[in-house]
Amino acid sequence: MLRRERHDGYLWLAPAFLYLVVMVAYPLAYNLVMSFQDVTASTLLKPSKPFIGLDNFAAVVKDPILPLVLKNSFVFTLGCILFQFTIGFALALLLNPRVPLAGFFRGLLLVTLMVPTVVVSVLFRWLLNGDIGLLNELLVRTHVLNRGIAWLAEPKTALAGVMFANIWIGISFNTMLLAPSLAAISPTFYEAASIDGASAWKKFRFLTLPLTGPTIFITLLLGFIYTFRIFGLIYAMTGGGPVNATNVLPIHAYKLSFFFFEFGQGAAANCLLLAILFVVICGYLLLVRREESPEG
Amino acid sequence: MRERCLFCALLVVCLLLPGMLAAESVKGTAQLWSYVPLDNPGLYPTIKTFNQSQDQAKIEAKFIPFADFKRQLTVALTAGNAPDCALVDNPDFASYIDLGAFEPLDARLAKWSYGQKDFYPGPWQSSVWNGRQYGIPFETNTLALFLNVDMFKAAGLDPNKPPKTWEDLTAYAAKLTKAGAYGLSVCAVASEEGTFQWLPFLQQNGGDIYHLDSPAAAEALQLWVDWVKKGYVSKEIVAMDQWSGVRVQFMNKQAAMMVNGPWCIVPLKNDAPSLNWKVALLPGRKKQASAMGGVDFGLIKGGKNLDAAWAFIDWLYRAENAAEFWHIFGSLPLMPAAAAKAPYWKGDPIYEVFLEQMKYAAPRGPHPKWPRISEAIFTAMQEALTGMKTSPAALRDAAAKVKEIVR
Repeated sequence: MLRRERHDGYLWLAPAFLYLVVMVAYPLAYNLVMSFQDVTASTLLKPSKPFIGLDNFAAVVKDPILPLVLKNSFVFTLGCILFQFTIGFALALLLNPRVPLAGFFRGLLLVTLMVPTVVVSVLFRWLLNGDIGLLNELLVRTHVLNRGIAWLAEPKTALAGVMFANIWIGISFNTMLLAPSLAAISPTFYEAASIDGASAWKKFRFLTLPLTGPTIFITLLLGFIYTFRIFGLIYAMTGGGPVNATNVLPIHAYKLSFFFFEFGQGAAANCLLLAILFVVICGYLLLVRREESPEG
Repeated sequence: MRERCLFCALLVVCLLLPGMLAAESVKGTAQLWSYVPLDNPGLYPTIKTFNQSQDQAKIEAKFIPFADFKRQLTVALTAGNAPDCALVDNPDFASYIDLGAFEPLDARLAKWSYGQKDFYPGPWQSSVWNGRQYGIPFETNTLALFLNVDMFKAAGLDPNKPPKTWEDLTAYAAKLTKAGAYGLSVCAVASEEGTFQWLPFLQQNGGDIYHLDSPAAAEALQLWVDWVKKGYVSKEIVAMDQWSGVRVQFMNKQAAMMVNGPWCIVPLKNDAPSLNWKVALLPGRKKQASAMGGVDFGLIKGGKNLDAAWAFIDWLYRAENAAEFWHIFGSLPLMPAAAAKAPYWKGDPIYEVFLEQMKYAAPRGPHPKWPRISEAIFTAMQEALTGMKTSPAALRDAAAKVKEIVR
């Protein structure tokens, strides 16, 4: 009786497993194999491609724009997470269940996640336009600036411009993940703290933060992974320019494959992306284990 | 037991359903891929006419946006589900020949009533590689200078005396720049469009892509850099493409002059009927030069209905069909004979300028590594225009890259 049930279980899992194999495992394996082969425009249609060991990885690492690409990726990701998280957390604290219409506003915030990324890209491209953009109009009229800045056309400000758009999208993601965890903290903790004479800041530091600790960790981790992998938003806003000022690793890998037709190098760049994310996830797992072990 | 059977049945149906719903392919139909917009008045109605005029060959056209086209075609070629024929942007054609995508046309051309001598030389060259012909020029265009007549008059300039030299162009742009409007608009985006727009200026100064570190090239790039520095041209040109950027700026009277192509003619007439504009030749320096745009038609190797595809080309280029097609498509004529005989181009002041400009149009490449060469050029443009490097330094780096690419 029990054995039959276990076999039934595997059968029900089969479609999901099949999907994972086809859509995740196979492309990953194919990518890994391709990164060790010489796949370019001339060899793409040949049945077997020459094996060239680590040459693709060497080419990717020696690429003169790789340092800039990696710097952009990390600055973009860490900068976005910083602002998205703090603003998102602040909004989650503000829009707690005791505030009227809190649920409504939190739902409204979710619009930023529902709007297609390309639409956001176009929207912000026009908002940040140097000649006729709304942002410049506002900044000049309120005398913050004398003249408008060509946000996306100047290499020094382009990264800030795309970060601006991504932070706008990501705030609601953080709020959405943090709000339930905040709501789950029993109010008796805060009452006890008030009785002991704790200030708001002390309450926040010693009650709110530790009790939402695990959620904060996972939010930051998911945020990092999602933001580091970003492609569509930046590609549609600036295409990685001007002059690689907003070129991040996923765009660089895409360009290697589909613009320069160096598919082997593109695959190697993707392996690099995967490796970086893998290290981050391992770091997270280590931190979580260390957190849990004292209690265990 | 019953649940198990139900599950297995469900699984089988789900796996077979896509297959059952897939459309059956029609015999004698050739698939054509292009990035020609669906609202282009020429291509799709013409294909419909061809399909209805006989029942041996049918063409099915599929539209893919320009930015995705190269990628989708390359992916389809690897996956083995490429179309029978495709319209490819002329500078990219050689890289697809190198990929082994196209079928050589020598045998078909030998039996064709037209040949190399009937076409303008520039467009024809873009589909030749290593002495073999792989494509037929399908559409061609070039760049000219559009001027806003009213803004010229308001600045005290005579619209019938367009700028003929670089110095003139700069002086006119200076006079035409005022609050809310730039004197000139060009495109310097980080894509083929940027290279397309600047290359004429390089060539007008006697430069070429194999000598980007020459003083002539540095001068040509510095011309654009100075325009941006002095405010005659917007800083946004590094992010403005020809269609949604430059053309729109000109249409909204935010630029008094623009460098653009014949695809603007009908839209300007339709969308901005009150705009008073005309066209002039691009200025010259050591010589006259302009860009050569357009697409080439190629038969994909291994396609199942290449004869149907070729039947379409044969029909299209017959004297009575070709001229009319190019006119409604928005292309310039590809054959001098058609240009002379057809009523569309002779006598129209706008088209006469473009036809005159065609005489000086030079193709980009052809070279199978053109995309990388183009990238070196537009990167240098962007570095100089944003002030990251000086013009000579940016071009020196570009020249080193090109040397590495063509080795």
